[in-house]
Amino acid sequence: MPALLADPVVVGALMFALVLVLMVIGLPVAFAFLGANLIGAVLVMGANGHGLAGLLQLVDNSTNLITSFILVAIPMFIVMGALLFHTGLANRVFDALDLLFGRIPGRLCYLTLAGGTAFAALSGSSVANAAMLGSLLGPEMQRRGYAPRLILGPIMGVGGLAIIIPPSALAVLLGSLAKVDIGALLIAGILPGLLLAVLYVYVVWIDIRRNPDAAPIYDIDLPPWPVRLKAVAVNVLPMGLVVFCVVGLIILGVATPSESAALGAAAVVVLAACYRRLSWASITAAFASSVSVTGMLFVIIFASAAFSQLLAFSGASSVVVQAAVGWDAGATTKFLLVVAVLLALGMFLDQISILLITVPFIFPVMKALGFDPIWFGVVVMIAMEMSLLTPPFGLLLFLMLGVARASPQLAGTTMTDVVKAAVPYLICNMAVIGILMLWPGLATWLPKLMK
Amino acid sequence: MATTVAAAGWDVMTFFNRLYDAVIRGLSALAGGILAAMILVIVVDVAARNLGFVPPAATVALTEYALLYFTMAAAPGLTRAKGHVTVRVILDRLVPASRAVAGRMIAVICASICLVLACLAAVLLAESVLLADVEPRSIDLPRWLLFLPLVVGFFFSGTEFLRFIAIGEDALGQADTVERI
Repeated sequence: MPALLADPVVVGALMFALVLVLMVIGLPVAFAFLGANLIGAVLVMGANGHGLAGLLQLVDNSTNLITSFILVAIPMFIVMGALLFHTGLANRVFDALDLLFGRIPGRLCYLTLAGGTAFAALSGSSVANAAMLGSLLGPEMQRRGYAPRLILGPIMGVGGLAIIIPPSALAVLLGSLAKVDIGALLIAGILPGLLLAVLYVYVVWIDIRRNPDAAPIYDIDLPPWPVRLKAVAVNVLPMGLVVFCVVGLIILGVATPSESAALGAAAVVVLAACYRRLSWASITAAFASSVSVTGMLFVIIFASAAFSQLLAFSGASSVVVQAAVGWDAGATTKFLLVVAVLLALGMFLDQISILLITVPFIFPVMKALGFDPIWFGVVVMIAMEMSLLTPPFGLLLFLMLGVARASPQLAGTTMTDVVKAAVPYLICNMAVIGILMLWPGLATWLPKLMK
Repeated sequence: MATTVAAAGWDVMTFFNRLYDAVIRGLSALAGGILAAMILVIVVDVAARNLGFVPPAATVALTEYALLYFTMAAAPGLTRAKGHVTVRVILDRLVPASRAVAGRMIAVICASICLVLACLAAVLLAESVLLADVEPRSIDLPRWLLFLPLVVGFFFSGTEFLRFIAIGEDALGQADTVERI
């Protein structure tokens, strides 16, 4: 047994299998990592008779990643989104955008896409975005007789944009795990994210053009244009301050991503105070939900940090990376294989777990193959967005199934219906990955401008 | 007489239950306070820097430590609220009786992991105090400050898992209802 444990591949495979088994049998993700770490430390260091020392070293090292300043951006982004939702500022943006769309066919679908893209630029949580859009617009679309696929699809599609368009908490996590420039990674997501939003609009437009009955036109009372423009100027334009704090300050080099995230959260507080929407109740609700979401994420990050270190210490990471680089296949084939693995894992695991398990392996391989890590990071984020929509366990699929079944008109919705509604949006994501392969500048141009 | 002793015992139990609940709630509130403090400290630091003042050297080190304190303060409350992400591929396919047994076994495993980690952190804490270790960051901080939150956070997370077993409640939340990134 000890001889076998001297083989880094065996140790790596054992630890990898252990985490997956513990997760699948139902241990919370964080505890699956912690359990695997304890066993891994005894195996890796205990083989030399230093079991207790190995365990103490494990706990000591666990504090390294979690106490790094770059991770500060994650709670700040989450607080920012929570404050926007709980103070009602998000609803004001939404109501103002509602006035812009007039009586065009499928106006509620376009409103979903515009509102979802705006929220993606103001909040770091894709599920919170989808949940909000689902609860705000879902019932209205049902009342207006929209086809189920036009109700579910746009919400699922645009909900995931928060992963790509900054502020993105997942991008910060990815950047810190992959040791790439987080500011550049955040900025790199802007153009691909906006392109995705445009493609989603195209999907809706094509669908409504082919099936006009799927989104019946209805009459609404709209105020005159000056009133509508004033509503946008009062409720939407000031949100530019938040976007400027998060994106603008990074591009200008005035603040680091963590600092800009804190300034973004402070900007939301200032705006809420200006709109007289700041109350003790809204602040405590926002911080309570932020503690829950960030705490869940940070316990996992804490648990996973030592996992990567143990893999590196055992030598498994470098053996896998060398084997993958040395494998006799083209770089593009290897890239596509990595994307396929990410998508396959996305069918069963959540985004955080996928990143924690795969990043220690795939980023060194991709770097060694000559791929730009920022560009590849954007591809990984798109793959993570897709994993929200891939059956059987895509999180947004379940969320929308819940939203649909809660309504009398859509009570008979099945998971198959939800998956079918998501397919066009998954194809858009795949198309953007293809465009990124043909034109990497879509992701790398803005970060280069920043430098 | 027996009734009086039982009542006194009950009162002591009630007092400790309430105290324990207050500790878990207090730790969650502390986590929220740490988040708010981090925003404030960073905004002051950036403002000072850009207004030509010298920002306090402690900001980065304190914020880094604050992340660890936040995580460990949030962990016990998160366990109580069943907020940990769980992959329910198998759990959701079990019949209720089997799921209850699996839930208890998982709670025992999680509690064991937490308590082992709390003990290991306590050893490191004692070592650091005895050796007067210092952690060099933007300012030097005593190293035991790194291990104190681990002892507290893992100990109370462990007791929260044990509490679920004691009251016969499923310790696991529904992954698809958890608001996530």
